[in-house]
Amino acid sequence: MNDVLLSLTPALPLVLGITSLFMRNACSLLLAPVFAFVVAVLVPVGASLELPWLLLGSYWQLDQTAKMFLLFSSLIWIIATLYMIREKPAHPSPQIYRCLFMLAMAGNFLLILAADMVSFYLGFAMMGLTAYGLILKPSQHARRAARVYLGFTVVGELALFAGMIILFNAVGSIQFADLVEQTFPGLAVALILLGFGIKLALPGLHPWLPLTYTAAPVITVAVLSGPMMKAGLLGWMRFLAPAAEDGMQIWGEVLLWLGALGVFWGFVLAMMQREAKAVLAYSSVSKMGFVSFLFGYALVYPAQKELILAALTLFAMHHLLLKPMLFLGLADYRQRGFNRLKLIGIIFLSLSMVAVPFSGGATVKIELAEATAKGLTAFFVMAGLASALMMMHFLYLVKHETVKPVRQVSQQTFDHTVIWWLLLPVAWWGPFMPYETGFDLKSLIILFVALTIYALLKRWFTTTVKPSPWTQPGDLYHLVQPLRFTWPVYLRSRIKRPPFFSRPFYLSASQQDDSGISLISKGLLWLILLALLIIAMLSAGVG
Amino acid sequence: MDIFGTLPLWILLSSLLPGLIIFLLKEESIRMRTTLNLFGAVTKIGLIGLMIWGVFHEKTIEVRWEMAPGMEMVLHADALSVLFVSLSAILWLVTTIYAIGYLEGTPHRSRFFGFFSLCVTATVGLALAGNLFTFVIFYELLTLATYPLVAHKGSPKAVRGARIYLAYTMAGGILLLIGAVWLRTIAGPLDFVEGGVLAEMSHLDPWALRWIFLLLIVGLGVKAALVPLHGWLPQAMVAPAPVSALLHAVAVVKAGAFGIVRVVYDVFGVEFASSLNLLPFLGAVAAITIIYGSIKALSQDHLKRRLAYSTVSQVSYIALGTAIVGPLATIGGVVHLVHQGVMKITLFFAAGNYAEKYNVHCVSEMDGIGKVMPATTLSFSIAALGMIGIPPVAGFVSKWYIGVGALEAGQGFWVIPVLLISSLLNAAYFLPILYRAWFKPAKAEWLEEYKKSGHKEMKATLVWPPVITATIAIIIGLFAAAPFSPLEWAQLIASREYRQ
Amino acid sequence: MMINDAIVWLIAIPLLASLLSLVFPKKGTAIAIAGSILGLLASVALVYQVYQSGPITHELGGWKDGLGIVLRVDAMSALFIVMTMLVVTMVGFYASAYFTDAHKKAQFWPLWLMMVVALIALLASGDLFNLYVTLELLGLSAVGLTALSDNRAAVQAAIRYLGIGLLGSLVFLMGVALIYTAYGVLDLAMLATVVEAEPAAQLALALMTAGLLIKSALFPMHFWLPAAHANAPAPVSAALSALVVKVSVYLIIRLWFDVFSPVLQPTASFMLGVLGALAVVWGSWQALRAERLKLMAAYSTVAQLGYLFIFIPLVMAFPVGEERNTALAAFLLLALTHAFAKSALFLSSGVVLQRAGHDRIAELGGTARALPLTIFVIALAGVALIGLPPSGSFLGKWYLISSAVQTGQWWWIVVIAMGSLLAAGYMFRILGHAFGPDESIGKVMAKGSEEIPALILALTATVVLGFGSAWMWDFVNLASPLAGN
Repeated sequence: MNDVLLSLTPALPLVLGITSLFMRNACSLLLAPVFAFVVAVLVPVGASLELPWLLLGSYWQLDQTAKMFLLFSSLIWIIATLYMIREKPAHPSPQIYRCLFMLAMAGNFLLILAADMVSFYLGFAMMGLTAYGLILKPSQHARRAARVYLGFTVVGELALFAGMIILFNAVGSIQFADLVEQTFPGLAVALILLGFGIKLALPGLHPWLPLTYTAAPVITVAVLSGPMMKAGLLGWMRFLAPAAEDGMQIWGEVLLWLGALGVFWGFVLAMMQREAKAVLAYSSVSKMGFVSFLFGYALVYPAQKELILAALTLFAMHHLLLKPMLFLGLADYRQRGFNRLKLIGIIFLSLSMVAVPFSGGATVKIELAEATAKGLTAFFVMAGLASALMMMHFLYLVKHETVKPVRQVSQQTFDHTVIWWLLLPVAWWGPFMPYETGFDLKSLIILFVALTIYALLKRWFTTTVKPSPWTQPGDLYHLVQPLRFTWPVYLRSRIKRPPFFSRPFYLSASQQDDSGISLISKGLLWLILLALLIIAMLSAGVG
Repeated sequence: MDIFGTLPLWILLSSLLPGLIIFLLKEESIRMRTTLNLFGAVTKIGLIGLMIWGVFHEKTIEVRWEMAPGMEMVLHADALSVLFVSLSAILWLVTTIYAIGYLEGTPHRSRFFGFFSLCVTATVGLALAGNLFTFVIFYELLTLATYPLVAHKGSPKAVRGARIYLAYTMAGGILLLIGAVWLRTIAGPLDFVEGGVLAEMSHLDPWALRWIFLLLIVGLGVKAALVPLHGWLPQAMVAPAPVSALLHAVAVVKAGAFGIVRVVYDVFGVEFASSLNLLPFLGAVAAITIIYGSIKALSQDHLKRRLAYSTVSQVSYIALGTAIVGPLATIGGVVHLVHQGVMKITLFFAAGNYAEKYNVHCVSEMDGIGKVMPATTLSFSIAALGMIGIPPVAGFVSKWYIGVGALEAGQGFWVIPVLLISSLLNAAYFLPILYRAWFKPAKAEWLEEYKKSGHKEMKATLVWPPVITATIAIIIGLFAAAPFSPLEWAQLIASREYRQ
Repeated sequence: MMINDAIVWLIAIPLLASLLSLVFPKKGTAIAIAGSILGLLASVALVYQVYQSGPITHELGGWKDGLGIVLRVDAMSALFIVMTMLVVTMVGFYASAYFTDAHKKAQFWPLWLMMVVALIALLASGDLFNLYVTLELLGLSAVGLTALSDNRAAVQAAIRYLGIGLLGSLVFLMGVALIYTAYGVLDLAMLATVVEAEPAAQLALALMTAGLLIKSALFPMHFWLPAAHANAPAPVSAALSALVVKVSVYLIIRLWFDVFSPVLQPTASFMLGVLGALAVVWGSWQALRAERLKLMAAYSTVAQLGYLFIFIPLVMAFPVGEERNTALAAFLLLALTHAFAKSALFLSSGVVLQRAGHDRIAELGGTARALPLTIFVIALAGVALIGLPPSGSFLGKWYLISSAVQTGQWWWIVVIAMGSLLAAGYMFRILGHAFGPDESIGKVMAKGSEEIPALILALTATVVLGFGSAWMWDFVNLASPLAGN
């Protein structure tokens, strides 16, 4: 029974996605994420499924991590699917959009369940590549964003592929279970870090993220910022976390530095944005920097690895729920005439993001602090401050940004508003039950400090800082863009005709009949031949 | 049980006889021709099924005919030939269906299908060839049978393309012949043996063997389109779509690649070839070809030319896998023989459909074509993604095995970058096509026509073949580990090649 | 009785037919066809006989050594005789449809049958004087046949051909006379036992060879051939290219390896090889450039004869015995394949010329549609001329290359490769044009009697000789005096 449930989880969205190409009514699509949710709830931890004939021999398992990821990802997929059904996505072809959306979902569920590298890679690639199609909408910005996204994704896939085969060659198995306590080749680690680092928008690998989040349809952004992005973290946890400690420390330190840089970079750029969506995007960069930092920390201190990773999962789940809800809420707020109630919801969610007491965010912070044995207090405080400032900037822009309300596109707005509100408490408490939430005085203090700072510097953030290529969403991209590579002329298409074949060269001159040679020369020729033959014959007598 | 004694002959005849009869048919007798074609194709598949059973149970399936003293024509079935034979037979069936639809109402169809059957006969003979002598015979016959197909349209361009094709392949054929004669003269009649035979002949001059290897590889490399011997391939794309499809997927290009596999594994033996330091040479040529083909493909606007350069690049994966010593790389190279065929034929079917329906020949004209030809474009997309190496399409499996094989053999430091660069370039020349086809707005008249025809894309004989082959491409990738999949079969081959 | 006298019948039947057709010109066709078929059957019987009992000697008239006419048939001559009869029969069928003018027919058949007599007699002759006589007879009948064509060029070519032929025969006769004065014998078998490496024999061999070189049109003595073969009527061209020049090559081989083997010099053989190589390259090149189909076929003959001469230094390099026989069998195979293929090509050219009204290669567009079978035959002939499998010449070339490798004379391989490529060039040039778009040719149909004989010849060259010639090696081994038996 569990076998069937597990195998249907990715199969259902796949089948529905393909059939959706031929269907008018899209309501049945909702079945897939709901089914995944039910599976996540009902199927016990440890259920596994062996499919030796699939790919290079597949093994799927619902372990604790997978269960968490599946549970919360499916929630976001449910609400996103609902939005998609109700609201015609701003996309050149809604049918293609629906199909790709479902395929991305299938990929996401597959990688969550995967317990071997190849299945994971399959899911990851399916998800990553179909998202390209989800980003496209008929605008210059979106096309550019999609292109950049695709470039990064393809490089990421390839890096991952190379890392994977190097790892396989060293370990001799594709199952994650066999990676435990193995020594990994450094190159494999580097390539896998790179492969998933792109999805997690490590600093330097992040330009696709702000570009995409500001340009893509909101439904796409919701799933991108939630389930898809966290797949990168899951990748690291699956591939790298089991490794033996020797040799991993150095990579842990690299991640520590990169993560810290990401937190800072995301924060600075977020504060320079003039668009609420862009602030959310850079906040994601910052948050994922935070995630990378902690993952690096876990690698550096293997003793605490288990605890940190558990807490990190909780953090990721929290963010996985909040970000899409913020994006969806923001879009609703804009599109449906600046509904006051919705704004309150958004503020409410933002508060959880900055970890006010009794929110999921606060509980996560406490868990993390405990897992790291309170060794990172200073970093947490700084990160919390950054987070709070970003949220304030976001809320300020939500309120003050001059955006024209978009005319209502869809009549039936009721049900997805309801589901948004229903999900709101879930997102607020994050991966915790309400009674589990903790109280952390520190975060309140941080919040007040941030409020003060923002109040003082508000003018500077919102008007003094002039927009520049540096600060546009997609920062690095705009710097590199002028250097864009173009093909040298000699590689461009042209029909080359090899001169040898262009015209039968042997026909160029008119043919002379050999019989045209004069009779005398013929005779001479023959006499010479005769003489030669005789000489050759007689040469034996000489010798 | 005696059937196994003549089975290879029947397999040849199952396409030869229909071909010969078709030549005699009148242009108008469509039903008769179609029946013959399909009957031949289905019979062949049935016979091959029997053969697979026989080879799996290690039965001796062999036909011998002495053509001159000590020179025997040997048709022999082993695991490798069965793989290639099945590929040809299945793709022949699909291509025949496609060609019936594609050529409907055009002149000279009897001639076309006649040569088409001969072409498959030659390919199958090549696959079943049991020694180098027989291989050379069918190799040349293949050239002969494909020439009229390339020139089929009869336009000056087609004739020119065919001429170039011929010039290259004839030159290659001569070199192959010289190499084969030389080897036959110094080493006697060498039947293909799994694991190679030359290693035991220690009296042979290693330098002579190196020269022979060079001659053979250059001779085969012309058909396999190794750089710099690839020049004919982009020219030969003037052929009708079914021909291009068959040419790129099974018949010609693959024959060259198959020959390289045969020579390296079953004549020289991979370990012996490696001990003569021959394989780095082959590997380097393959690597250069892979990269060069991809770079050239990037800049082609003509769809079929782009695909042609893509073939140049992709087929060399087979040579690359062959050039690396080790069972995993062997599996990768051999299985790519099948995988590339299935994917490439899909791409060419689709390209043919575009040209046929809306007269679209160039990538730049493909805007929005996915909306009016969804099934075709979906097939195209699947195959293109497979070429890049995206799972679960088959291409991923080949790349995985070649990569892992290279690492296993300690060659990863150059093979992996080649694989990565090539995949990146593949993505760079395929993905923009997909973008155009799916996401750019389609021409208004196309949409109108599509709507008018009641959302019917094209006739079934043209739509189904790419859909079928694309499905096969997914199935053999997704169920790669299932019994009797190409991968499993390649593993069987590798285990037999490395048995010693 | 009948079987044992096959060789006599082979000469008697065409001779009788020739006389009868002269007497009954209206029945000429029937007589000739009947004669040819009977001859073909007799030649098969002859091969069977030689295969069973080894080389045979037949003395006509019962006079003893030196005075009577001695006929000798071994494997090589038997095979050449079969080849001759098959080509003659098939071309005869074709000719019956080719000549529509009764007057022409009346002139053609007697000459044609006389040529057959000369060919068979030459192949079976056992002494030098008879060889001279048959050579002369062959030359004259061939000239007569060439002149049957109406146009001026043909007559001119015929006259030139006559002069060349006479010159060649005379030089040959000088050699014969020299031998007779030195040794007093003309019988080949007896001569072989007494001849020594001395100047008289050497000079005589040189003279005879030089005479035959002209007749066999070896480069650079080929100049008369293209005009003569291209301008003669198609059936005549076929016989000239396939048979008449080839028997001269046969004679050279016979004299060199059978009779004068003590006299032989590697230098001289190498020289012939070089000339053969030049012929391959030059002939193929000219064939590639030819603007007319028949001219191309004629130049192709020059090239193909070159291959046969390349065999001479290679055969020389092997000691007498099985290896040499293998090389000789390959030579025979190549010669036979060429005869069948070339006659098929000329017959098809004739069909094209008659049906399309011209044979300009550049204007052949549409012939593949109008004359599919003819073009198919040309393609089959091309397969054999290029040396592609499964033709007999593929095997021949395989052994040619193999012999070159074995004897370390690798430079011939380069020539063979070049020749094959050029051959592919000129053959496929025709096919390329034939498959081209329709231009001039309208809806034409050829009669079966025009196309079927050529098809049979081409199939013999490509399929029968490819798959069914393994016995020839045994045959040459068993029944060849060249092997020393």
